[in-house]
Amino acid sequence: MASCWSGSYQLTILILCLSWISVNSLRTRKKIYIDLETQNSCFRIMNATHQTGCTSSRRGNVGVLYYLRTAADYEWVTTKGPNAPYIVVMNSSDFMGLNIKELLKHRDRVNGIMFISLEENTTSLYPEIGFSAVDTCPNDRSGLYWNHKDFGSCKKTTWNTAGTGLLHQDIGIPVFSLTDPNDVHNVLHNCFFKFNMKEPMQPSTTYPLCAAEAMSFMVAAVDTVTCLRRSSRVSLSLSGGSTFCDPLGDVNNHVTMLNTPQNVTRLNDTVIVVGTRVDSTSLINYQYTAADTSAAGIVGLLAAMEALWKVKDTIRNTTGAKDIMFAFFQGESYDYIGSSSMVYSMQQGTFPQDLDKDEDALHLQRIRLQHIDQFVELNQVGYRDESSLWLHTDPHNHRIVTGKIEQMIDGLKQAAKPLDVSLQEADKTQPLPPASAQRFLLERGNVPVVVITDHQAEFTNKFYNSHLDMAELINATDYPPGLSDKEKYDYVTTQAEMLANLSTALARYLFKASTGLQPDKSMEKILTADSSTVTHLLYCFLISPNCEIFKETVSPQNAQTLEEAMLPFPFYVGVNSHETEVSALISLLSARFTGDIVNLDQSDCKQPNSDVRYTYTYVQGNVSADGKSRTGWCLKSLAQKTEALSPAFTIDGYDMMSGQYSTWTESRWITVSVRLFLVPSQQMQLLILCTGLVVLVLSLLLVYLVSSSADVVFSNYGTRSTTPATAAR
Amino acid sequence: MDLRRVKNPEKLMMCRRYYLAGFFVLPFLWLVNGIWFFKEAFRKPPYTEQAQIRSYVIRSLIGSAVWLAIIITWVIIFQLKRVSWGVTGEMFTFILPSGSA
Repeated sequence: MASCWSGSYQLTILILCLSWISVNSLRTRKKIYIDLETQNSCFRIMNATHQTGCTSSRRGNVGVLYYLRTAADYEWVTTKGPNAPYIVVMNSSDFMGLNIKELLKHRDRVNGIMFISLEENTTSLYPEIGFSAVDTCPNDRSGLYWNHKDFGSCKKTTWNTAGTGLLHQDIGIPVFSLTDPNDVHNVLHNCFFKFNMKEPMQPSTTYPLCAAEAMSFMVAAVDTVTCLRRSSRVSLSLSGGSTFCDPLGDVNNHVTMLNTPQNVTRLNDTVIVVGTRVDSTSLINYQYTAADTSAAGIVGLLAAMEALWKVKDTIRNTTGAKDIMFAFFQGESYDYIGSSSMVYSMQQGTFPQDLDKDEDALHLQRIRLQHIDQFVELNQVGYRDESSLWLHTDPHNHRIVTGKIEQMIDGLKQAAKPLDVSLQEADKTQPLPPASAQRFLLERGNVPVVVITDHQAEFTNKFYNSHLDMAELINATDYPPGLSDKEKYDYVTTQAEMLANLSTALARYLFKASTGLQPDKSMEKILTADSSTVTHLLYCFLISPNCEIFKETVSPQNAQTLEEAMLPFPFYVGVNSHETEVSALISLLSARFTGDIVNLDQSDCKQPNSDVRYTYTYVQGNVSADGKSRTGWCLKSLAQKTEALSPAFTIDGYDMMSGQYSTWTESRWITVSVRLFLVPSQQMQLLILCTGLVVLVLSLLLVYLVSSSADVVFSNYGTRSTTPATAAR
Repeated sequence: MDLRRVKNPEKLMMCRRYYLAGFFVLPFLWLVNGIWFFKEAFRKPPYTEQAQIRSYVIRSLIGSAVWLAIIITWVIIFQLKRVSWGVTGEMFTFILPSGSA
């Protein structure tokens, strides 16, 4: 009885001890490390020949933390400091090409870079000389002028003077951005100033020092060709094969004015294409703001669409009216993924719909390259150079279709004149800036092309394709002080006003270009873009997606996702298996601005099998009169999505080295994290290891001694062990 | 199996079988044979079958040593040249490294 009680008593103690140990071990881990929240890391991408971007080593890069502020600090980490390797922290305004390249020259001493993307009272976010993640001649290789003797490699005009080319460089060490105030506080005040800079201006060199471990290990390597080959390999492992990288891609959105079915012939030169680019890029994941790079163009096009579709009946009823197609190209930052894939499907005869799929149903008639009458592209339109927008043309194109281009330019200027929008022609001998239209000109040189953009020569935007292309820089946030979020949403900003005028001009121009009719006063009044739509869209795309117009235009299933979104949706194209929020929203907004509300409830809001020209989209709609539920709209429209995946990945046996199509892929990764901890000196670490080893050897020795003289130590050892053995014999 | 309990002719038979089986690209069998019968071949007091066992053991050991040299050479060449062989190198690879060439 007594022994049983003592047994259970011992068990209880044991359990208590074990549970205490496990709780305590958790605490020990927390005592050692401070985990940072940031997930904003640079990652690896690849094309047919190179890997570029960032990676850490498999177990993370470790270095003593150092906050760079002066030139002396750079010298300290790159040459003088005795505690290398370092992981450096810098202010956003210092995060610029020259500084980073200087640090990258010393990758043996600099093991990682973090920068503070947080506006504080003392420091500005923006480097004075600008910052652009891509190079000075964006998309040159995949554009119209590759190897051109006069225009190739931007010989005539260097467009992106702030280009650093970092996105296309094999950086090879982790780069993180800190956007959380807690992270910044931990890094600076719980780590750097507390341990590594105890005296002002006097870096501490004695241990313990505060170090960081930056982890962003990328599983893909070498280039797209290698990575895809490895990913498609038949694997013998039980866990199945592994995919190392995915092609970049998403969907293009477009909407046509006319519903021309496949049994009606489409004449040559009868489709007016108005396009803009959807995506932008940056060095850092999640920080894809694109105020000027693409958002202004998207919003401008959507507003023009809304205005133009108010007179859709007039256009549709005018005999001989040309079709108008609004196109939103995705993935253009990565060698024109969207436009090249649209051009390719036009050449294949599968655009906008594949007629061979279901022959009985009514489809939209094919649009081929020869059907394009003209191409107007809205490029960057946020910053106005000399408060004007500029019309760019290709010199060769201008020469062969002079009349048509002059007509387009005149038409645009005329439409803009009464609206206080200054439109000027850029130098005619200058090539086109990077634009989706280049991919159309590559395949059909006589499509009349005009590109509307905000720069006369080099980009006015010093933060093209970067994490700093912010709404505030294009005057899209110039609110009077003290506005609530609701009031900000409705306040018409300077940019919204300017953009609305541009959209109006575009809508009026397109009306005339399509119908050949000069809109009269009453028609002009209808053909006016709504500046409140423009300001709403700018707010929703750039400041907060959790806004009324988006709420009205998403499906009830996606309402929750929208409700939870804290930050603007990223403008990065992403991998092709995932549709981006931005593309999804453009599709929904196009349906809303161009579609009719039909009286169908959610379950019946479906495309009939006999006519697949129209898309039926069910969205939440506005708040109903009782103020509680939403009305729900079933939108019937010609808004369509087509795949925006580079033909390089769809053509059988495509030669990846040919350079014809984009070959960008994104590496996969497992964990991205940064944590801070204290490191003792090397001698201390060695001492601890050696002590451990000595203790191990001593204990082995002790056990050996005890067991070899067991019969001396344990009085009954010999009798107990020998007796049964003797019995067995 | 405890060789102490096996009769000598049986030992010879086993050793011979192991030796012959080794020719079917089974160097490990030779290695096992060499180690297992080493005592029988060299340490035990002489008996009739010992000379034959000894010759099998020696041949097995030489065979496994040759194999070992071949394998070491291959591993060194493979590790040094895998990347530059490109696709061919990858075909020889069972577990692909992640994050590097």
